Amino acid sequence: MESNNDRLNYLITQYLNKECTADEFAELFTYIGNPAYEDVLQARMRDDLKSLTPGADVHQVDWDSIYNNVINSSESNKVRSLFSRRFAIAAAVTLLCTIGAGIWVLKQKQPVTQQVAVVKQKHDIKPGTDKAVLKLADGSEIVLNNTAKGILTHQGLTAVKQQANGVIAYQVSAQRPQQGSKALTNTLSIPSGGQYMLILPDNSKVWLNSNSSLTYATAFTGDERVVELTGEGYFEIAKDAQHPFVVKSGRSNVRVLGTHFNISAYPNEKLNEVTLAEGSVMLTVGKQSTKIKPGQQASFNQHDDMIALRAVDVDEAIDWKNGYFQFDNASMERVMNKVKRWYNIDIEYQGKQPAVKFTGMISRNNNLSKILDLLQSTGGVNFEIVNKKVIVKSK
Amino acid sequence: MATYDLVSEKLLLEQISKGDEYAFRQIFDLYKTKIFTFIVNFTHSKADAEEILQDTFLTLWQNRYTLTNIDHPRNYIYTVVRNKTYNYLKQASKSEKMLREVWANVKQDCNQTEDILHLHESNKLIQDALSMLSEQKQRIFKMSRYDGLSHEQIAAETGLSKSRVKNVIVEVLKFIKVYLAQCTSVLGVIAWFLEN
Repeated sequence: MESNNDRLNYLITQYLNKECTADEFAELFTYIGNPAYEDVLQARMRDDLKSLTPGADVHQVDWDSIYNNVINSSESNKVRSLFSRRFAIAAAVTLLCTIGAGIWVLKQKQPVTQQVAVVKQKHDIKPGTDKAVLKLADGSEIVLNNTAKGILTHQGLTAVKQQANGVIAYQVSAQRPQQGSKALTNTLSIPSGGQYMLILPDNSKVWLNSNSSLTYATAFTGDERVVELTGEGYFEIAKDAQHPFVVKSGRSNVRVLGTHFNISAYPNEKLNEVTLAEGSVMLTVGKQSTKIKPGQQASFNQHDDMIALRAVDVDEAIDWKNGYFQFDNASMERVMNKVKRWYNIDIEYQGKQPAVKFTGMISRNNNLSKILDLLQSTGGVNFEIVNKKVIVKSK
Repeated sequence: MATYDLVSEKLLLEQISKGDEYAFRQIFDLYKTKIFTFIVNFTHSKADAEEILQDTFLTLWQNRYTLTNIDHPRNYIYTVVRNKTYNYLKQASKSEKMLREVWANVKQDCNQTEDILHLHESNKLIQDALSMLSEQKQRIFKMSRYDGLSHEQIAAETGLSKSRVKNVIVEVLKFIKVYLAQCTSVLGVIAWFLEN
């Protein structure tokens, strides 16, 4: 260990001086990927902060614009009013816990640190899978659950196909449907512990998360392509400037021409969120409208028309689509809501809800106990799995 | 920042915690250059340094109502920026793509001939190199080189600062250069881009 630390210190020096070879560079980053060496790196950072003098290039930075981005993207006043006063107080309590702690990233190859107390459990719970229920225009239902590939049914002139595992596609026949001809409506519903991907008749792609559903026409014939969402979906909309794509969810609608974005609109979550990966979208909530730019997230609640915009890590918002849980300073409740939907479990808080925040990422393919172990290892919270319920205890 | 005035900085934090934007700007100006240089030292990317710096101050501003609990403002601010920088490096350690970008920034420019050669053939290679970068970087680069937008226009379109846009473009160029150097003997191709 001692000599490893020396080696790491040498590698850091080489790296800081831009003098490292390709091999040294690769070696350095294997150390950095290993949490056991975090202290060495942090110590070097501390030294650097103590001793450095700002370089000449700081004069080329557009400071005003950065400062304005900070102030504007946090949209301070609006955001604050969305939360209760309690939130501010809770945040005050948790802040000190958060700083410098709680960074966990689980490497698939490595076992979780051994000293961690294993979550008390009777039966482990497996992660969610590809499953969904498709409701056709006539009200009949098809359960999609590793269904064999091929055509499932026809809806008007559209073929409904199981395209691959967890992917269903609508293919309009070459004969284009008449303008104004009656469109059929289908609904794809995802249960707890499920996910599914859908390719709409216009070739737009939609990933649906657990506890979500999407209602859509089996052929888009009107001026607009309209769908209705509850829960969470990630949309990659095929470009068609003549026919705007509109996602309705509750009191909000998102209007786009062709772009990538995520909508989280669970009825039981305090906030709905629209996050834009690329392009641009227009969000309307009640009477309020706002344009969202890439990398921004708009959030709003169920009660008023206030929309708050902030800059976010888009990867965090679409973690689920990429097969991860990813958290950046997320509250216990936010973490557990995601866990709850994916593992199809109930959550019970014993005593006060733990006032800790979490940062990190882990694959959604793990069993529940592994996720809970990891959360538990940051300190501040204990879990117990009883049947299909997780009991959360403050530490 | 030769003298560190603990009392007056605690006072500033107290004002910030009441939502005083003027006090926040003072803390921003007090720390921005040191923090920026620190992040550049550890990431070798000015473009990413701006992002991490912005994110650091965003965290401070978003948590401003809790700042009265901070005993030592400087340590607090440094802890936030260290953790963000550490997270960046840690993310890089898990991503081939990010590592390649960091490596391109580490490599000193090796005096390549800057003649305009075989632009045709290398265009595909440039596309290959571009495709290895993040969507945001590709987009900024394309807006600049293919759509001919100015840094101001790109900044307005993406909501990033002008200096960040400029640094992204410089670093993408560097990345392509390193990529081309690995692939072929047509080292000078990139000069065509650099002249613009």
